[in-house]
Amino acid sequence: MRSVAKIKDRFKIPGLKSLKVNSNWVFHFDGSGCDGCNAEYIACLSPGWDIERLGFRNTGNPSYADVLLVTGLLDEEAKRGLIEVYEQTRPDCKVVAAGVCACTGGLFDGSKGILSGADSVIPVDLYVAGCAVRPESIIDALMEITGNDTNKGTPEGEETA
Amino acid sequence: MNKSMFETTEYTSRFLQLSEVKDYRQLVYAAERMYGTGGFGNSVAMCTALEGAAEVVIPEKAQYIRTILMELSMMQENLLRLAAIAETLNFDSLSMMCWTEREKILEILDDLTGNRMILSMCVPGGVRKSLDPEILEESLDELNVVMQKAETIKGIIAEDSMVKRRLRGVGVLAKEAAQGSSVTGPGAKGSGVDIDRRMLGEYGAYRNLDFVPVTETGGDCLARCMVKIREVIQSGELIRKAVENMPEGSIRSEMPAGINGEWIAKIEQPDGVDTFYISGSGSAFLDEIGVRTAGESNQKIMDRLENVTLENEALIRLTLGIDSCLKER
Amino acid sequence: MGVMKIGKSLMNSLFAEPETSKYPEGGLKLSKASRGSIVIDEEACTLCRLCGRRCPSGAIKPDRSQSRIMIDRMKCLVCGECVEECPEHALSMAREYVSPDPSVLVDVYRASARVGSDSVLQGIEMPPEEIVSSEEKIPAVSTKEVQRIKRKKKNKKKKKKRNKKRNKPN
Repeated sequence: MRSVAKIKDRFKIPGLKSLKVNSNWVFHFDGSGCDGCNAEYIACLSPGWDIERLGFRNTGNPSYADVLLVTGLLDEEAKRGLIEVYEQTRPDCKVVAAGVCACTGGLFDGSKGILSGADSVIPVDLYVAGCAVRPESIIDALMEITGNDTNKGTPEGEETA
Repeated sequence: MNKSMFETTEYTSRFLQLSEVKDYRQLVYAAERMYGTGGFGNSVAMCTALEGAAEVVIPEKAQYIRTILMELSMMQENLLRLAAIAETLNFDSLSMMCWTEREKILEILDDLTGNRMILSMCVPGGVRKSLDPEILEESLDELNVVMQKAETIKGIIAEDSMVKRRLRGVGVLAKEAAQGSSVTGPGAKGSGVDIDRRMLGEYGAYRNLDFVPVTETGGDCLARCMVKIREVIQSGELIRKAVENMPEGSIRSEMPAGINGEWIAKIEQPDGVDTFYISGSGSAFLDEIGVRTAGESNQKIMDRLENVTLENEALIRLTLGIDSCLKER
Repeated sequence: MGVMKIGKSLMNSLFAEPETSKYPEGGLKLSKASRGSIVIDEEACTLCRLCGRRCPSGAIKPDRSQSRIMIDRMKCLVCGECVEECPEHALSMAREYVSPDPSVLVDVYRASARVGSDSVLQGIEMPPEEIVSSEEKIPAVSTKEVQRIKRKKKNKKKKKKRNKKRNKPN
């Protein structure tokens, strides 16, 4: 995957645009959160929602990642880890902050030792609200940040009971 | 969050700092977010402690509604633990089966209350909204589908030879050692000790629903996994009984403006017993709060187990209920 | 023989309906009781500020000096405490959730119902035709054209630092 990344960066061949849109690897970083948003992201990889059919794949190496997903509260220990992970990513990697605690600190904003959001450590490209964040919101954010424009259903779609 | 001792004290100090700025009604939302997958149980514990300190009796219908939502929440957390154990064994098919069944229960919770895991339905004095009877009837039909799949999963765990080879005889805890120690939850039930905090009847409507706690002899990891899947099936039956016997009436009673007194509340969670302590002296801002989770008290048994090797340690810690299963990533 | 005990359920799932919900193509399905976001009815709000005191995370901030209410969407827990507390029933819970946004969203609503007008408070009695109506004084913004204040991104410095490390131009 590293060689494909180099091809994408340097040559900019027009036929490779579909790779950039339809195949992205995601790295998930979790601070010391409550595990709510954590469980919702892992549920996205389960057969209930299955983001692999849209082209996303979970990876364990930040230098292969196209999207860095940050969830959970950030305190001093997590800040060190997040800076280490961020320095290993490529320059064209996008950052998404999911959940209220990663965007602005949420309920715990103002406590001692809690940073108010991920944007006090690294630059953030997209903010997603919710406590705990819904899987539909995560899928919306991942599709928007990579430019995938499959048909999005209207809010007045089919209703459950 | 990792339920080891260090992070629990870190959370407690964060919780205590919040208690200087927020009054007791706003703190229930902070208690709910202690660990997100088991959030409803913690809010029930905190509300029980507040009502005990203020000497307020809540109506019967509110206890039944709290019981139904609490059993649904325990079902989805037990399935999550089983999925994590199966993934540690590299048995991905069983893990994906458990995740799929968990999604169906989360849909039931979404239809009833509006949110999937962090419900915000329990307030001091009762419950916030009552449950729609039509939606309850449909959810019982969907629960039947989940229970049939749970029987299949129980058959796989009990008889599959790959699972038996890795889990049988691993991390054996004898009955006498479990009786005299601080282990609760599946660690004790898997060794034959039948203690269950729900039987005492301090919270919920469990007094009127007769049931017996699930026990297994054997004391190894396989027995503890069987306890978890049998509790999923038992929760489904409890929900059905509670829906049939639900009384009419109001759902909320009034609470005073300030809390004067102290109380300890203990509830049963899938990993063991959680403890909440509250003390106040007349104002809406509490004086002291103390929290202890099940993982902290279960951890002390690890020194007394024999034959803990590098390949077994993760499985033993997951089945005993010491580690939360989502921080391994 | 328990080697392939799971084989039966695997064969069943080969021929059964798939369990995946096709989210973007199949449309969004929200339940009746779903909690998405908070909406304010501007004509009913009297700026009593009870909702601001009740909020657990401090996301809703009424401002009496400028007659407006600000809701920080990236801080709101959607718990519903402010909806219960409002004595005029001006707050309600909408079913749709807030879409992802490249900056921290703060929605501003203008309260147009005021208790008393300025001329009465100053002690001057004006004839009825000369009292300016509240619609002219404070331009009421409908909920469709709600103003949005976007917080400035604090990341220009970090971008320079990051590009410096990789020896690239800004």
